[in-house]
Amino acid sequence: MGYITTVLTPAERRKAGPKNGAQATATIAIDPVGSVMIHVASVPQGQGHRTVLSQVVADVLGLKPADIRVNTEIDTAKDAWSIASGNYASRFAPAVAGTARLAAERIAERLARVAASQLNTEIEDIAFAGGQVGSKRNPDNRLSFSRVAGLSHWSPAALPDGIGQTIRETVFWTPPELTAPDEEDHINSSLCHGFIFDFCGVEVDRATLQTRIDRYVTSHDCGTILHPAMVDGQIRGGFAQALGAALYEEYAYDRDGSFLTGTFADYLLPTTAEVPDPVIVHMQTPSPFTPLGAKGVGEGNCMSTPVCIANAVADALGAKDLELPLVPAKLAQLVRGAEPAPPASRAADRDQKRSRGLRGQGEAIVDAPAEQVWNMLLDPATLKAVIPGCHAAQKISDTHFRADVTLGIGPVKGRYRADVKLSDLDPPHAVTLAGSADGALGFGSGEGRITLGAIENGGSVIRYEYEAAIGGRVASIGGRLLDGAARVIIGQFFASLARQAGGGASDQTKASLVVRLRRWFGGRR
Amino acid sequence: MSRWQANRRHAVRFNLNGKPCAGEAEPRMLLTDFLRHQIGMTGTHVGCEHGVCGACTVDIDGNPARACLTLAMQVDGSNVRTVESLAPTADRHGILQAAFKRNHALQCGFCTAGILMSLDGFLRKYPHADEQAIRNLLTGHLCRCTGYTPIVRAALEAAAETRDALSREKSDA
Amino acid sequence: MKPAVFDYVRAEHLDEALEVLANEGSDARIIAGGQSLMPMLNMRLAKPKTLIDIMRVSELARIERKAGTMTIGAAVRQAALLDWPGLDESLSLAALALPWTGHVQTRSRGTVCGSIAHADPSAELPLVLCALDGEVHLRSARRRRRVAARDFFTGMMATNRADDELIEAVSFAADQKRCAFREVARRHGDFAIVACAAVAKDDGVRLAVGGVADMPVALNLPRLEASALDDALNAFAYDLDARDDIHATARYRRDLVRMIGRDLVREVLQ
Repeated sequence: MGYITTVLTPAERRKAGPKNGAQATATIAIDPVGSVMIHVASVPQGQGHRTVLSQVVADVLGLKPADIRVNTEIDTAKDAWSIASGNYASRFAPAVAGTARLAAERIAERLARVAASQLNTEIEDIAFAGGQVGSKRNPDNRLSFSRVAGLSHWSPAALPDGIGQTIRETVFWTPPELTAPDEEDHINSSLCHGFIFDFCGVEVDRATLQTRIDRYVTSHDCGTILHPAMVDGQIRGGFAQALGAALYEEYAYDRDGSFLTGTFADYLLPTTAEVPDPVIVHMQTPSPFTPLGAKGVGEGNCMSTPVCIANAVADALGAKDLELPLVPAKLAQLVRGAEPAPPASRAADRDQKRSRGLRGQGEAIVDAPAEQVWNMLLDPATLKAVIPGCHAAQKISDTHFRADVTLGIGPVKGRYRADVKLSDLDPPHAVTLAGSADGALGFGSGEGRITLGAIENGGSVIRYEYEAAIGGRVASIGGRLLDGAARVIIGQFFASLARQAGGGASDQTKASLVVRLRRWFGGRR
Repeated sequence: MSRWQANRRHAVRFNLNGKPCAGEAEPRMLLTDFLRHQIGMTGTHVGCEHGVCGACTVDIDGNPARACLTLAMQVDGSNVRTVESLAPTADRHGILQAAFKRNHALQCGFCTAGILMSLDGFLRKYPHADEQAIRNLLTGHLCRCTGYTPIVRAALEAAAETRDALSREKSDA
Repeated sequence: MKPAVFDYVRAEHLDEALEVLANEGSDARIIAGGQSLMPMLNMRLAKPKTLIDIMRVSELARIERKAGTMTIGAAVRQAALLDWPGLDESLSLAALALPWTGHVQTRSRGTVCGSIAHADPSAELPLVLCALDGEVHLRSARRRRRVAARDFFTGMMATNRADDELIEAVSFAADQKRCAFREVARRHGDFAIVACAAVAKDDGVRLAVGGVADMPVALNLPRLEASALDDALNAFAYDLDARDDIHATARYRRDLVRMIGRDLVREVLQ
């Protein structure tokens, strides 16, 4: 609890009073037929706490783990707990399981005194084993555990003086080493430290820059190992999560803050194909500070594995600084030299300066003179016909329009309120269009410069350049597809405009107009 | 042709774990929700609802399928099996389940039901599946707890045990 | 994450589905395997008023090889095609690409034609259609027509299919020359960052690329020697107008097109 107060200033800490310690609690209870129950204020989610607690208690009382009932449900109105209670910070093995052992030992001590009195021997002679409580010197001099334990229920008057009861024992344990921070904000952030040493060998594919882990060795000292399979389970899980952090998982955001990795198609968790089998090695140096000498092991690989993998990749590539995740395309930027230039015949202004913003350009050829196209762009009735999915267009002023549109890419459709402003007008040659759209699926905004030029047969060519941003749910679900979506919608606008200027079209004409527009979007057939 | 109206519930009938099952569903009700809320079989879990995590995997007509990407109405007349079908009796585990327990192949258990159903169907069809084939099958499942190796080990053990049981049956017969 | 309301129609015959499409147009959508459509419905990115399930229309479930043409009906699941005994001889490119398409658990339900109708630019089956220059058989209440792959994909997730049409089947020339397939993805089963398919022709190679442009794009290459081939692949890589996204940069994609393209061309021309 002291650790969390390092966010306060020393003066604030003095005013509020020092915080320290980390109390764990355990309650052991024995019922009238001698069945044992252990309760802790720590709720597991699959880490095997109940298994380990049944072992710890059974060991003290000479019973089998299957004989111990473990309760890990908490009702703070009824159960023993403290502000530090909970399942976090790797505290189960060092604190919670240790406290369970202390509770079992305390009740065992009282039971031993009861047994010693019943068996007419000294406490030091009493041993708990095989479900019996008996004399070490004379093994035939013994009683069943349930008989001894049940006395407290059935005949409390038969108990020796000063025993009290042997029905329930609650222990609160907090290590004295966890003190409050000092005036210089120094604090011992952890009671004990597990140690990890990892090394690995990787291969980075020259063509794809994908990383393959050839062999990964992770060695741990988590103090006393309470249950080997549980400990290995924690290590394997931590390793897989950390491998994900190193190579695959990324919360990616666009420049406008839109979240781009909102589904598991884009937020990539490693699967069986990506997670190798680590070699796990153990040392056991019991902690002097915890009742069982255990130190906790769950968080270890999350700290070591990303670094180990990054170091290996850095070594492979001769790189100094690497950012996680190690996306192959980003690694390629470190090692690849200059790219072969595009063929000289291609337009020079293609694509290279692209950032995450959506930019594009294009051209459309229309069978109408520039003045006619210009008037169309300023006419709400035409805009209503031409803006993709437009239900209604309203002229607010000569240079300001509003429209209700339904926009769609494939099956994805949504309704939007669009706002379009015209500026920098140079009739009938050029205009800047700035638009924004808002709807349930997200929002978008963009600005484009449109220029009109005459061409030979009396038609005109519309050239446009735009920059757009799309955000909201659509971005987080379809981040990968956004760029194309913007281009499609803008393309639809110009296809409609061309159609409108050309005065109606059959499927045939529509297809050929689309084909002509496609040429300017790039990409051969 | 049949048409079922939106906003109304309609009868859905299929075989669930070998027994006839009947319930009611709106057309948009997912099979996951139908199994869990209409039938009360909560063994099938709901993870991502977009078909990637695999927690909802069940068996439809002998093939593993994402129950979150299936409408209840689509399985009318089909044979559906869920994780509840794997235990031979209420107090015993099936071969796969016992192998998972022995190998510590589950921790929180959230992904487990789906993985069991993928493996169960797959090993029935390909009892000699090797580790590569099993890993490939399991790329369709996400697990955060186990690092997958214990799951693969359990699957290989269960496959071997099933092959032994089948060959003993054949030689007994 | 639950779908919006819709009517559900189960067609037993093809003309039932066509009638609903004729009456409801873009407000209705065909559902076959549902592996592409259901995530969109669950996230309410798509909100059709009517879903038409075609999986019980028996005439759509056929895989046929007849007179040198392979025809795959709209109700054929990807797993069924992968398991089809003659696949390696008749349509080896599909045999190579299908194991890269999704996972076992999605191939068991998803259909071949459904993936092609969905036209995700990074999907493998549209790439196969493009590489083999197959045909899409479109059907509506008013007509039937066949559209070549090169005309079928018109943009990102956009196809030539009219609102009242469904894909009845896709077909390919079944006498396959040598072909090759390679995909680079972040993880196994993911959408392709770059997928390439190469098919040997009498006079060269047809190379198709997916995952880069808004749709799969094919290039017919004559037999070329080293530096001429590199130049052609370089021009092609730039023509595809690659973009940056969260998984890869444009430059990375172009590099893969150059490298994988060269490997596949060499492989099929050996």
